[in-house]
Amino acid sequence: MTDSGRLAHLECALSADLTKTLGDASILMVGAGGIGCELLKTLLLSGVKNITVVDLDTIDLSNLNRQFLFQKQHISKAKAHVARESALRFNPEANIVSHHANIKDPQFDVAFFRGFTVVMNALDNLEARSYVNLMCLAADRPLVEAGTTGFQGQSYVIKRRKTACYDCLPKVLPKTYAVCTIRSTPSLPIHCIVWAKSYLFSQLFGPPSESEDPVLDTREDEGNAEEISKLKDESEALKAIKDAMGTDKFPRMVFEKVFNTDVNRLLSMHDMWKSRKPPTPLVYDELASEEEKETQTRKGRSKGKGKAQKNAPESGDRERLEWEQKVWSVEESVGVFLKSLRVLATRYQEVRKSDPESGLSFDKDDDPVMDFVAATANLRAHVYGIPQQCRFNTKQMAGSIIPAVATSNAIIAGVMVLHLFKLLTPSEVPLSGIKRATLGTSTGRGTILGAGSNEAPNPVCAVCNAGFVVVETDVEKAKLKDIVEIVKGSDHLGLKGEVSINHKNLLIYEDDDLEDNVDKTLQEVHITHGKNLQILVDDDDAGVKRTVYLFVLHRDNLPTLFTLSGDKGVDIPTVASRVAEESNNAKRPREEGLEERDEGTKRLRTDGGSHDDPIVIDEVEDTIELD
Amino acid sequence: MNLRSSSRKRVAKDVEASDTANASPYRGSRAKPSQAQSSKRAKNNTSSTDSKENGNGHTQINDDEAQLYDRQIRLWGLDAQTRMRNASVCIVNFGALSTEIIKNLVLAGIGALTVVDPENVAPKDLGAGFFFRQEDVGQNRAISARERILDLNPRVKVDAVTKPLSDLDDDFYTQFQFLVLTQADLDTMLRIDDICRAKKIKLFAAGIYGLTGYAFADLVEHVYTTANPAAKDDTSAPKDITRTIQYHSLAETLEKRWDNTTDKRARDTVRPKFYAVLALLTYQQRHNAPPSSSEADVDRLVAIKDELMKRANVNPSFVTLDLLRSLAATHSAELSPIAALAGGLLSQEILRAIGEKDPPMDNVLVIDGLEPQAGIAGY
Ligand SMILES: [Zn+2]
Repeated sequence: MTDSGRLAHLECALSADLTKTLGDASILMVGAGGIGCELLKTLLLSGVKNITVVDLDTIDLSNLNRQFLFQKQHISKAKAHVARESALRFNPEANIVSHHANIKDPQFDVAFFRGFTVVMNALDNLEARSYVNLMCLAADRPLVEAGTTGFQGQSYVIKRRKTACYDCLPKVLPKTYAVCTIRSTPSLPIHCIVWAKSYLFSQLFGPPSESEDPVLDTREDEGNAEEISKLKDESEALKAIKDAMGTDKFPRMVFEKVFNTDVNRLLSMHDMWKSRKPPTPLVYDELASEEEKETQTRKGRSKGKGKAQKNAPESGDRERLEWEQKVWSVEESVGVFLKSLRVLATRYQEVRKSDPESGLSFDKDDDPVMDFVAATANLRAHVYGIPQQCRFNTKQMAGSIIPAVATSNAIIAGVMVLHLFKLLTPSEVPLSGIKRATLGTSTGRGTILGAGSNEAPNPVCAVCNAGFVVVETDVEKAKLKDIVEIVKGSDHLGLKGEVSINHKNLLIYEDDDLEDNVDKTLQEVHITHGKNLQILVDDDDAGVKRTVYLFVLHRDNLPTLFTLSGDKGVDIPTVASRVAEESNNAKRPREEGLEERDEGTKRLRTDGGSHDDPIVIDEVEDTIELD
Repeated sequence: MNLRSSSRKRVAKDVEASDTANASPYRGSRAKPSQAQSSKRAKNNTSSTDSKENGNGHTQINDDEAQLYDRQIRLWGLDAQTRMRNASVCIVNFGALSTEIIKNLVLAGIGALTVVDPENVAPKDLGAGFFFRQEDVGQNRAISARERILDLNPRVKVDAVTKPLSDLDDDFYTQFQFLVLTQADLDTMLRIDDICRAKKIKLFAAGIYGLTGYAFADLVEHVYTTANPAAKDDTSAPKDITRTIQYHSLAETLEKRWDNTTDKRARDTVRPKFYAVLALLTYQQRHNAPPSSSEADVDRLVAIKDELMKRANVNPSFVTLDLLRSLAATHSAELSPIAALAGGLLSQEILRAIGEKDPPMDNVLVIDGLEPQAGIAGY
């Protein structure tokens, strides 16, 4: 019985039953990054043999300080595949399947999730977490959720109707800034950085579709109409300057417009500065180097490209590091600003030669782009008397970089596997015995890793307080009226009340409304394999509402039109209509992410916001930009 | 709260009876206490391809390294990273715990690592860590892993030493700033701590036993910088201040007396568990072998625990019989998740000590894998 080999340590500490259960279990690991590398290793060393890894990312240099399954020669290869190969080297008998893909792809449908004993999240963003949460609820599989940021981390278990789900607790939305703060009255370094990155950079170099000021929040209460119209004038003037791109005058024109003309125009609005410190315009002739001034008058010199920048040591130089870590003088910022403008102008024009609809996009690792943003933000900060930042810090804020280190990921992955041990021995450890573990920053004394009780489901959670039903059908044949029949028909769910059917928060059918759609096939309303419908059933007579998530699996040649699995009608929880009404605004299912907010309330967004999330912290490498 | 143990009988007076939710998944059939770690197959002292460089020429971080270490420099700053780049660390005994510590320190970018281990790779080592391969079985552990450690971070200088600790003279240690003992017995730790104190080498000692782990730090005198709390309100105050911690030796730590058993800190959930580990180590010391899970051995272990805790003036019931039972049954198990927890927590303390930024652990860290919980207490 006792294996003197690989399992010797395990068999000494765990029961024979648990060791066997671990060997038989099939684990889905979503994410093969910071937590993922550690988790894959710890799972394999804990007797788990069957693991499927899904990750859409490729390996980057900045991963190598912690993602130990990856090495320099693996840069830009798929994380999932390299993680698998590296892990097989120390455990050749393991059965690891790797997918270089997005977990939201239709191939990873409910049936796929049902194929696993436990799902473990090693993700770096809210949106994917929320999606996996929903899929685990649908497939009724336990989910081990986890996240880290810097020295901190957290892990807990989610089980349908037994514990809170990922969406039971409100998440803090990404930070947004009112347009007038960004455009006219900044007071913090981040305001200047957002302006540099999301306003000036995209106005000058973004593709035409993006440079139509996506950041303008036109809500009336956001500022007076006069100011809005002035801002529009500014944009117009900037477009005129863009026509000068490619000439020697261009950098100076941009400088004078944004740091002088526009500032003076704002200054003329005296009311604005009654209770604020007024900005100070910058004067080109006082700040630009003699060399810069000369280039403005010289004709026909070759521009920007390939020219070593005096103020910016090349990447790889020793001085570069020092240069990125110190706060530049105003003159240095002016130099970097003008030079990066020239480089970017050249690049922009080249890109546009091949495609007039294209442009440049912000990339924190693109040196001239980041130079431009850092210099611009600093000059703007100087204008407003706001403390300036070194390029290193500006990059962190502009690129939403989350500090990360191997140790916290290793600790949290270890906790996840301890959670798994308990999940696989339900007869001995009830779910309440699986604590919510929180890792804090050590201060040399006291608790570092704490265990708190797991939360109960939130009774008004719009995600988990719902029914989960899977329908297998031919989407080219099944019609929306068949879906209505599934919901109402006494042979099926048999729910009473008014039905509305949504897909990704978009209403596609409602009793007494959009009834034209009722004869459309699922295919015709773009409900294909792997998609889900959110069905709201409002039973006015009983004063209750129900939510049903219906997951569609396309099948050819079914003997019947559809087959159902999952919750029966009686299993589907109800919410009192009044309560549902109140919670509806506060909490919405977010499977489509955060982009779909009303146009009218669109505000400037700086990042994916995951580090603003106090509930679950993320191992975030490159946060998605949601501007 | 027990792991796998031979008996599940609860002795009421010894049970703190708080966490009924913690029925353990780890109990089970037969205990397996075998502990055959005394083999001495030491070959020659290894050679390593690189020569040992010990100089004080502080190497600066270059831009390439700054890119590689970007995400952690944002956590602890360039100065700490530069100190890591120049740190020389020796780690003793290549088990599951040291596997994690080695990985974490090498990824973080320390300057030089020396691994001391006279043992050869056994089949069970393949389940304890990721550095060994089937074909390494029978080869020295430190030598087998050396190239693979380098693969994690080729910038780190890695040496392997295959002599047992007992064959190394005191001067051997002077080449390191930091020494990490893993899975060591009490007498070895006391002996090495004396040497390290005399030579001002900073010592960490740690072990994992089933679901329990501990770490001890004796950094002799440690100077670090930390954010100046006064700078919050007073912008003219210096941003950082320097502080010094005087550490206690292991011998002093073992003599620690609590003023009174109702001391809130002494009662916290993690702290008393150090006495469970101490009881295990003391048992080993007195009997020249670790306990088995037999009732007789468990009784002896309980007696030692009672003795130690009474001497320290801590209520002996703070350590449950179940915990001792499971320790007796599972102490030889080096579990990967516990190694990850203990190794991660300890590595972070080692890195904080190397970086000389913010206070490192002072002075005992206890890891309870069952809750799971971990905390640091000053003994
Ligand atoms: Zn919920």
